[in-house]
Amino acid sequence: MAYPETDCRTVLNRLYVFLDGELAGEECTVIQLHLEECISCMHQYGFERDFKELVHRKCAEGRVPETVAERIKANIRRALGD
Amino acid sequence: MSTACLVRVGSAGEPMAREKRSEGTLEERRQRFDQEAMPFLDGMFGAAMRLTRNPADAEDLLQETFLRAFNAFDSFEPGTNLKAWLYRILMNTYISSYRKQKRSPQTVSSDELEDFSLYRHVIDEGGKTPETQVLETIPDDEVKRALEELPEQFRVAVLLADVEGFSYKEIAEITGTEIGTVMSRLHRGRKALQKALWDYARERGLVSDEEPWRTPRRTAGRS
Repeated sequence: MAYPETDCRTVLNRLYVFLDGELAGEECTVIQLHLEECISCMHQYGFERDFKELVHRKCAEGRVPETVAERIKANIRRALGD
Repeated sequence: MSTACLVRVGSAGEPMAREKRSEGTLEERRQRFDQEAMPFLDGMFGAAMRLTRNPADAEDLLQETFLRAFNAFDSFEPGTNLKAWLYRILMNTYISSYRKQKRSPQTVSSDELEDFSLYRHVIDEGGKTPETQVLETIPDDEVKRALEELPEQFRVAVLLADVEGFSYKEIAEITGTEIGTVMSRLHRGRKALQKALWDYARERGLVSDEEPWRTPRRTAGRS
């Protein structure tokens, strides 16, 4: 379980990039293997992953009001000279 | 976990326009625009709300964005990323016409939130392993407000990545910046948002000073 501190630091520095699905190949595999074995880094990863998901869920606006959508379409038609 | 290494290739998995561009009539262009571009309206309404911070301005911004997009639709390359194309127009419209009237862009103050990590912060205060559970009790409107109050560059990065699901490469294209800049703004934006929400939770007594994350004195109404 005891990882050299430098290993953890390297992983934590790349945590967001990993979380965002922006890593590929060997670097990605290295981080994935580390997380599977290092409980402390895994916890932090879980926290950041949950936070990202929370922001996504709580900041979504849902559907645009129908009246707004209609006005936008009407505006385009007007621009066409209808 | 097992799929984390299947890196996505510069796309938020959104539909793309596939047909070959043709010199259609104006009416055909309108129909094509209706079918292909208008489905993005819902997501873009949310983005416009976070950018302008109120519904009336958000609608104005969307009106102008879609009109510009329609007029430029012939220059859109079918088969490329329509969603990113539309958001680029949204950002350009926001910067050129909306923001100019309202306020000058906020400059980013660098230091204090530079390296705030909520996770480390809680552990360093002697808390147990932090979970986002406490943040779940914060009403959606407050989370939106916290996002809206971030310095603009941070707000845009978090909005595009975490709310809209764009890749770094797409965000770089949409905002006209380098990928490294996107990563740095996103990193700092998330930290700043965590700090803002943590401060909110503290002020409202959602977390206790003695045992962060463990003993909410008050629980928000369950929904």
